[in-house]
Formats: sequence, structure tokens, C-alpha cells
Amino acid sequence: MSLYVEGVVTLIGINVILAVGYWLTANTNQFSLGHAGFMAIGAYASSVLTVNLGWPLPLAMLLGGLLAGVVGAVAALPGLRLSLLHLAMVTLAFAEMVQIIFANWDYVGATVGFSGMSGTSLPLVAATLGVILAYVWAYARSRVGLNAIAVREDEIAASAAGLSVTRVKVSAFGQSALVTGIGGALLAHHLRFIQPDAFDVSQSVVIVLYVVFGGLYSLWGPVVGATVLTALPEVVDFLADWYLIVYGSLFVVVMAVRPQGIIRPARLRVGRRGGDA
Amino acid sequence: MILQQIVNGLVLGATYSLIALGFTLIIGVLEMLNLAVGEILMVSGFVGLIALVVFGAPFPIALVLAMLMGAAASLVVYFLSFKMVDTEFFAAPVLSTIGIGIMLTSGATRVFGSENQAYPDVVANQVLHAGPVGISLPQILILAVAVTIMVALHLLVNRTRLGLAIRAVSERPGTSALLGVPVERIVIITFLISGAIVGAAGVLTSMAFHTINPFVGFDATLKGLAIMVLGGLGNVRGAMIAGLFIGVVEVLSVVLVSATFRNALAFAILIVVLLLRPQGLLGTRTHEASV
Repeated sequence: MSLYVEGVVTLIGINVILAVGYWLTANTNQFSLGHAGFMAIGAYASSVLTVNLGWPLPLAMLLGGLLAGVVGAVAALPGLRLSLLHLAMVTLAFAEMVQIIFANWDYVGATVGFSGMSGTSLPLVAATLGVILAYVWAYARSRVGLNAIAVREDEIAASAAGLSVTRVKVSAFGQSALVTGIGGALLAHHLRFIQPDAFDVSQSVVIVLYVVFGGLYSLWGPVVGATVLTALPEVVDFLADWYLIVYGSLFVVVMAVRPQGIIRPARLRVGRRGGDA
Repeated sequence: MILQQIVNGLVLGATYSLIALGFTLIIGVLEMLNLAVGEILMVSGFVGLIALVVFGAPFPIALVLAMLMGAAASLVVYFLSFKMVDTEFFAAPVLSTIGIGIMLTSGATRVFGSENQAYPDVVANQVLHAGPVGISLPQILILAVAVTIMVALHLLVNRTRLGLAIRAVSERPGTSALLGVPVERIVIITFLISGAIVGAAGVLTSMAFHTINPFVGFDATLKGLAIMVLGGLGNVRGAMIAGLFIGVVEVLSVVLVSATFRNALAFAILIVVLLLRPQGLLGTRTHEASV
């Protein structure tokens, strides 16, 4: 495998991790517009640990993810308790604040950025992705996963059945932020350089696009979405220049034509008719 | 000194109020977020800039052109992101508006470049003094236009049949339709009004900051959202008052604390309000919006 192909495949792996991470919260019908903030937390925390403190990357990555997960659960709490509208606003503003904090924090290089990381390899990304996919796959089939689907389909019914809706949402959101933090950590050590601007709203939105393009109702939707959308600009050259405009129009087209994404739900639609989802 | 900053804050805040109104009107009639509002503002600001600089148009013409641009863009957003999208599908319209925002921002970056463009002073930058307080002619113009728009909107919403229809649709769209209100037409008109107000805000905020660039849209969005939450979702009067309040707080925080965390202030206010008083400071009821 040439170095270039290996780089692209590594990037696809990282983006799939980000998409699967996002899916964890989207699966409870909670949409964040600030996941780049959790990426940033994972990226900066792990980079400081490996570069300044000499930790091994897998450990630093895990800690960065945990930090992102805890911060995510706490930050999103006010939004999760209210409506989707509130969550969108809270997460949007949260990511902006994370960016501002890193841009003013001299210890991590402020606006200049932070460099010196290395160590992301294709096997590490593949192994991490494998563990995460296995976990999420098992999660989706577990009781907790069913709770999440119950909340997604009908909050009132889920609550009447005795579920703590807020707890389900917060737990899913925290896990989502954790996986996203790990993705951010891997990306930082893959690019070997991070700066606050890299984690702006367009990064958050691209992650959302992976998931909605692929499809929300199946774990494989985000996997396919991230793979296709990451590979496309590499394969089709002119897309590299126009990719934001193309991504923007993809949003508009996908939402109008096929809001459920390109991967159809197979299992969950059985026995249900109509569009009350 | 403080008094002077309060005056500066009120001028800035009046433009913020307009941004928040752009969001609030849409939340009112559709209970949905139009996240392209910031980018509509940016595009309209550029239209105003072109009118002023390239064509040498007088200020009122430039303002009207920017408002028309805003209304037209808002209409496009309505059709692409709300009309054509299955609104039962939770986040779909919001995500679609984000897509439009991305296209507008990257389109503007291609046309105008990503650097700051200087925004001309449309009136002489002369300062009038009243005791310890000075206010410049551009500031007076900004304030005058913003207040005129807000008063006009207030009268429209509260004193006309159209305003009554808008309020009825905001309150109960289903019942309004049963009672003969042409709901879709009212929604379209509301989008046009929202776009025109945001278009004016595009020119006024650019005048206040003396610059414009393709990325101002996102800042405007963040501020607009924070102000809207503070004033209460869907609350027109709340948005006006909260905008002035945030403008003053922002200017004072820059002077008294530091300019570093100017934008983080919006987040702090959002979080605190949502934790303590989710219906907003002036809100009477929360819109349980679907997104």
C-alpha cells in the first residue's frame, strides 16, 4: 500500500470513528451541532499527554476520550433536558467556547497551534475502530440500546414505561462525546499538528453529514456515509476545491430527497407502517 | 466612561436585536430553527457593500437592496429547507438550513476572498457630544434604522390584521387554519419579513464593526441564538430587549474584563439562562419545539 493510500485509509478510519460516535447520540434522537468541540478536547488532551508528558498514545487517547465524554455529558445536560432546539443551540455555542478557550491558552500554543505529535498508524486506527464498532454493535443490541431506541421513537411512551429519558439521553451523549474525543485524539496524532480553527463549526457539521448521509437508523449508515464522503474528494479531484459547497448542497439534497439517509432501516421498520418516526 | 460604553453597547445591541428577531419570527410560526440566518445576514451585508462601493449608491438604496437580498435568500431557504423537506422528520429542516449556510459562506469566500473588507462610513464620522457622552453620526444612523425597523415590526405584529394572523399561526397553526388563516402564505410572509430584517442587520452590523468577511454569519448566529433564548423563544419583544442588554454587556465586558472572551459570553449566557430560566427572562411560555 502506498503511503498516500495508507493516509487516506487511515483518515477514513478516523472519520468512521467520528461518525459512529455521533450516531450514538443521534440514535436517541438528540442532535449535536458541536461535536468538533469534543474532538478538540480529545485532541488537545491526548497531545499534551503524549508530547509533554511522554504517555503512550493508546492511553492518552483513552484519557482524552474520557475527558471529552465527561465534559460532553455535563455541557449538554441543559439542552438534553429541554428540547432539540435547545440542544442544538447549547452544543453550537459550546464548541465555539471550546475553540475560544484553546485559542487563548498559551500552554497549548493558542492560535498558533500545537505540534510534535506522532504515532497514529493504520493498525492502531483499525484496532480502535474495531473495538468501538464491536462495542457499539453490542450496545445497540443490549437493553441499554433498546432503551435508546425507545426514547428515540417516543419519549412519552418510554417515560411512561418507566425509563428515565434524561438519563438515557445523557448516557448516550456522554458515550458519543467519548468516542468523538478518541477520534479527535487519533486525528491529532495523524495530522501531527492541531490548531483551534480545525475544530470549527464546519467540522461539527461534516460529522453530522456523514451520519445523515449514510442513514440514522442503522449503525452501518454512519460507516458508509463517512467512508463515501471521505473517499470522494480523494477520488474525484475537482471536489477538493469545491468540497464545502458540494457538502452544503449534499445536506440540502439529502434532506429533501431522503432524510432517512442512503442506508435503509431493515430491522426496525418491520411491523411498522407509515412515517411517524 | 461607563455611560459612554453603555451608549456604544446600545447601538451594537440594537443591531443584535434585529438578528435575534430574524430567528424569533421563524421560531414563532414554524417552531423551527433557521440556522442560515447568519449567512443571510452576511450575504446581504456584501450586497450592501457592493451597492455602496461599486455602484456608489446612497445609503437608503443600499439598505433597501440588502433587505431585498435578505428577503429573497430567506424565501429560498423556506422552499429548499422547509417546504421541500418532510418536517415530521425531526432534524431534517435544521440540517438543511445549515447546508445552505455552508454554501453561502463558501460561495462568498470564493467571490470575495476570506479577508476583512472595509465597510465605508456612509455619513461623516463626526462625534456629537452631550455632556460626558459622545455619539457619532454613523452610530446615530445605525440606531435610527434599527429602532425604526423594530417599531415598524412591533406595530405590524400588534396592530395589523397580518400581525394578528402571524400571532395566530405562532400560537396554534392548526386552529388558525381551521378559522381560515392562510397558514402557508403567512409563513412565507414571515420568512420574507425575517429575511428583510436580517438583511438590514447585515448592513448595520458591518457599519458598526467597519468591516465584513464571509465568516461573520456564524458569529451573528451565535449571538442571535443567545439573545433569543434570553428573551424567550418566539418572543418578539423579548428579543428586542435582550439584544440591547447583550450589546451593553458585551461592550462593558470588553472594557472592564478583556476582549478575549467576547464571544464566549454568548455561551455563558445561553447556559445560565437555560439552567435557571429556560423560558427566557421575559418569556411566559416555552415553545416545545420539535427542533
